[in-house]
Amino acid sequence: MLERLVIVAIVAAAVLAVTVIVRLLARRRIASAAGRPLPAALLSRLPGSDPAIIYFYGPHCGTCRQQAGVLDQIAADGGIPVVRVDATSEPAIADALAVLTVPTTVIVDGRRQVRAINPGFRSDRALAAQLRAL
Amino acid sequence: MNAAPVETVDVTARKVHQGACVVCLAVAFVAGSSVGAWLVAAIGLVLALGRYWWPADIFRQLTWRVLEPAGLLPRRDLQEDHSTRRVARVLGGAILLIAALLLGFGLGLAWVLVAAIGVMIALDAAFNVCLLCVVTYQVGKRRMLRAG
Repeated sequence: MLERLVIVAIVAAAVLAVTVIVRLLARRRIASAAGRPLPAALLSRLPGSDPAIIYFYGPHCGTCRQQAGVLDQIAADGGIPVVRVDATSEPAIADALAVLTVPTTVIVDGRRQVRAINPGFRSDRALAAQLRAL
Repeated sequence: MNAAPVETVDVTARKVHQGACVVCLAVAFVAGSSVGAWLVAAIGLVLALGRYWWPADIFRQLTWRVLEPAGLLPRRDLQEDHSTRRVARVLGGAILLIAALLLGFGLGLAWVLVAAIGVMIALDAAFNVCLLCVVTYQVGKRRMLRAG
């Protein structure tokens, strides 16, 4: 039994260590992408010079449908433009913005600088806080 | 892409459910194959059956009926995606039931399946990481690049 307890402890420690390392690497990758100007292919799709959200989705992603609902709500309530990009059919744009998973939302300020990259689902509250901070 | 209505869910209940599942799976492994197989099967049923029949969702029921009313845990309602989690839950439950069956036949290697499910649940509970989502996206992207 003690042997099995040790195995559980080792597996837990290994998973924790790998997760922390992967998250640190992902954060570094995101930090290096944030603050950069947008790829030219995206600039032409952004209307006006207001803050905007770029939304990366996948065609077979269930979570993306939920995220799209949140973004529709933000666009309707706050008038924030949302540019939708299918990350699987435009991988070059997705890679330029360090997209690791779908959905990913990218917050862009009025000068078209990337201010935040959010891997995974984000609530309207979280996105509104990021837009307020611009 | 069609938008789905946004759901608000009790995150405390989700985390209690996931935490309890992980602890039970760890206890099952420590207890050994004979007792552990039953515990793995029970968690498999909580996952798979509890998705469709609420009385089987025992850890959430415990949270809603005991822990939150007693003030032991605060209820936190947040917008979260549950469509993917519901699919993952049924898949995870089915895999655990298969693993329990294999353990019942004395195949110790089935613990690898149990560990994989346990790790995925633990990552979602602790860090909100959907490992399946990352893997699905990365595999799809690579397939697309290769085809292009």
